[in-house]
Amino acid sequence: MLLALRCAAVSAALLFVSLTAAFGQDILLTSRDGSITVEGNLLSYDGEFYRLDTDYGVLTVDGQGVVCSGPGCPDLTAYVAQLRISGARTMGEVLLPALVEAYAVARDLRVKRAVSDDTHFEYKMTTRLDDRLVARIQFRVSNSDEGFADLVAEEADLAMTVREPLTEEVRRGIEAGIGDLSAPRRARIVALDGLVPIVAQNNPLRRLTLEELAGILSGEIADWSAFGQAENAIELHGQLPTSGVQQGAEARILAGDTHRAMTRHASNAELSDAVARSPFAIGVTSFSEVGNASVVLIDGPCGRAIAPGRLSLKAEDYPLATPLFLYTPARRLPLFAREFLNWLTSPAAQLVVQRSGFVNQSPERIPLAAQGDRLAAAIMNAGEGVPLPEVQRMISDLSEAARLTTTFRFRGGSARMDTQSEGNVDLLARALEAGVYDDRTLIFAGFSDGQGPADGNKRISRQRAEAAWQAVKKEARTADWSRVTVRSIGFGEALPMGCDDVEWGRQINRRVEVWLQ
Amino acid sequence: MNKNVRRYAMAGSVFSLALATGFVMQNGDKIASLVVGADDEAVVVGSAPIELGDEPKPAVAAAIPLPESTPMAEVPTVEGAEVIQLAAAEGLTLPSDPMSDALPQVAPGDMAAAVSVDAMPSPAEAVEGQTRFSEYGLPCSVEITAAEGIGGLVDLSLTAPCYANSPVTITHEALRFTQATNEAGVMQVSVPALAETAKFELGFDTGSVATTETKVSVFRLMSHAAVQWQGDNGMQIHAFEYGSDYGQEGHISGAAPQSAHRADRLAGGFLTRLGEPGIPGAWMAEVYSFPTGGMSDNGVVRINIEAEVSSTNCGREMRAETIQPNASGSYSMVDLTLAMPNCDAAGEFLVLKNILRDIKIAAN
Repeated sequence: MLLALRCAAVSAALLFVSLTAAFGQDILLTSRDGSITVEGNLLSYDGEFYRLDTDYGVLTVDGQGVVCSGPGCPDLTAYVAQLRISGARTMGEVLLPALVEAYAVARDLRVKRAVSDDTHFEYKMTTRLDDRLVARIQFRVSNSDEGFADLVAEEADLAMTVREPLTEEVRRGIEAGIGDLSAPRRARIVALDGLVPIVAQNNPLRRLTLEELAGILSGEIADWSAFGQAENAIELHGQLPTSGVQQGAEARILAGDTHRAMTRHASNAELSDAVARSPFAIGVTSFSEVGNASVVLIDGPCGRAIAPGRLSLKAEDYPLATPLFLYTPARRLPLFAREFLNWLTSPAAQLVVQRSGFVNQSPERIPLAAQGDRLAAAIMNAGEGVPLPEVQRMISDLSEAARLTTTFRFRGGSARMDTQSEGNVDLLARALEAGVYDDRTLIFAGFSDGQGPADGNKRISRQRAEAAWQAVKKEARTADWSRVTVRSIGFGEALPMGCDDVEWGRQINRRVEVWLQ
Repeated sequence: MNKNVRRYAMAGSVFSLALATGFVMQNGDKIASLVVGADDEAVVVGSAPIELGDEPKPAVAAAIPLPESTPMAEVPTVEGAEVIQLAAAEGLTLPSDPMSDALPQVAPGDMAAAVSVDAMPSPAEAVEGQTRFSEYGLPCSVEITAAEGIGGLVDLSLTAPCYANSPVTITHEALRFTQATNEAGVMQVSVPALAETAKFELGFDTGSVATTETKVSVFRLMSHAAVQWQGDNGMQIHAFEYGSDYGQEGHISGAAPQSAHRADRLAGGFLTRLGEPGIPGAWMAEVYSFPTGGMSDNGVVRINIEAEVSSTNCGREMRAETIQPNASGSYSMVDLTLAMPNCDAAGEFLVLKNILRDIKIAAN
């Protein structure tokens, strides 16, 4: 159908539109094959859709399928798309500007950046040939709180945030009529990041449990002698209370606010620079902005440390992964904005993400051979719950296969996946539709934590694997299932990644991995 | 060191034909060597002027043919110029397009530098029916060399005796800046290469353009960030390497630019300031360069743009262009407009931390 009609009530009436001869109306839209025409008064044009008032009510018509004639036709070449982007500094300082600039290059547009200060600037994109203005993109860089607030107040079209909306923000959004911000697909993950503890390079601390880090943030651990160093007060560095990174650190490491005195900074970079200068300092910053400081690994009480890195953030094996979100309003954005959002998932955009120092979402393969630590853990773990033959069966199932970084995890105890995993469903579905895994076998491998009886864990892990597979299958509508073999297997608690004696370790262990054979 | 010198002729209505069959201008070489600074390694291969017209050939144009391996190129001519038969040009046809700017492109495989010129005569020099000489008696040829220097720089050298004390605007990728020749028509400048095959276009105020290029072997090991502007707007790059603060050794700016030797030693970066502020309407540029590929320590170089708020720019908009790497590894330019603070802030500095992206060093 050439005409995309947004007003279902009048779609039947439209069939007769071409028969009516109403003169004096200001535009006439004709389908490209000439078979359908619509006349009416133009209400608006957003670069893609005409909204017009017709005898049958207000219609919204896809401009790509029609030719406009009549005195009321908009000047299609004079249309300037506007986009306002507001929110987190972590994203607004480097990442989004780099993406906007790269998008302009991809569209062969000239970019002009007008700067008031580091947090307020605007991009104007013009055609190379005649310097005609095509789009204006305004940036307001502050924090995730402000991003959501601007989105709710309709002062922003896209909110940059380093966290999901709070219940209160969701409520305000619904009241303001911008829809349910917590609903699936309201957020797009632009890049992956993580919270990382950092110290100066001349501080010998290399590993820390989350519990110890919580102790430092709360003030219970106040001296470096607790880590076998000489007696010196720990200097805690943090960010302003409005910072999404600071909020994330307190919520996820401390499970509450901290009242401990700290030196607060206005950005990740300033925090990292300050910590890098003092051997007695420690702070939590973003993986993307470690700067000149040194990363401290998160250690489990059972001794399994997980380093933040490209693979562990993609697979969410790192316990403090933080996806970076763009939230959209419920209304339709201008064509330029929607095309920009679609471009964000392209390989070109993923390359910009990586070059900007963030982790992108392109799946990567981790061969079995590169997972020696995990296998060692599995063998060490073999015994009562998981007898050795079980481990052998698992290794034989996964041999000659490579784990994809695509991993599915579920919200604490619930059947709903977390946001990064929901994004992975879409990414994997698209890859299947594109035939990326044709003639291969995909194994959805479910794993559980080590709580409770092993039989139950195996059953639960198999159910999760099956659920993840079904979710992907549902999204991959056009995939050719005759070309790809899919198995889902439950391995229970056989291959632990985190320590089962702490909740965050168990959360890491409850997962569905995807292996490619 | 691979340095090649190319020469072409430039004259008034009597037009010097640069013949691709190749001539070495023996006397001219000696003179040019004296002017350029007697570079013994300079291999003079290229096109010498052949005079058109009735005038006797000047002594300096004693031409000898080059080996046959030198490729042919099209020969430009100019409306009104009388074309004479040239023995050396056997088999050559002259293009009929009078405005043809097809130029000698002599490029044997081992040559790193090449020059071509849009050989439009300078009106000021035009003397009807005369071979052109500068006031020091040198022929009006233009000679450029381009050679890779240290730290990812390209050393450009121009000798244009008939363009003494003249502005020359050099364009390289998105970078452009205006230099001046000295009283002998000589100009030398080192430019950070923003492409592996670094091409340079030298534009004279007469509209004539000369080009040259050279390969830069260390291009991929270097990272650059640049800002450029026209006239006088006082923009500055400040780079802070590995957590350095103002005034420390790793704080690189116009006041403490360091040199390419620092990058060559893998000790850190350096700043190149390009353009002559004295020339009206000159393009100016600051380029910070850092040897990212050779460093053994992880870390970051933070790069700020600073602009002093003055009584002339306060409350106004300042324009500039930024150049920095894009995702594909090449360099992109963005037009920048800075809204300067109002005049209460005169004497203070506007510091922008996020216009030029930090250079992140991932060792290993």
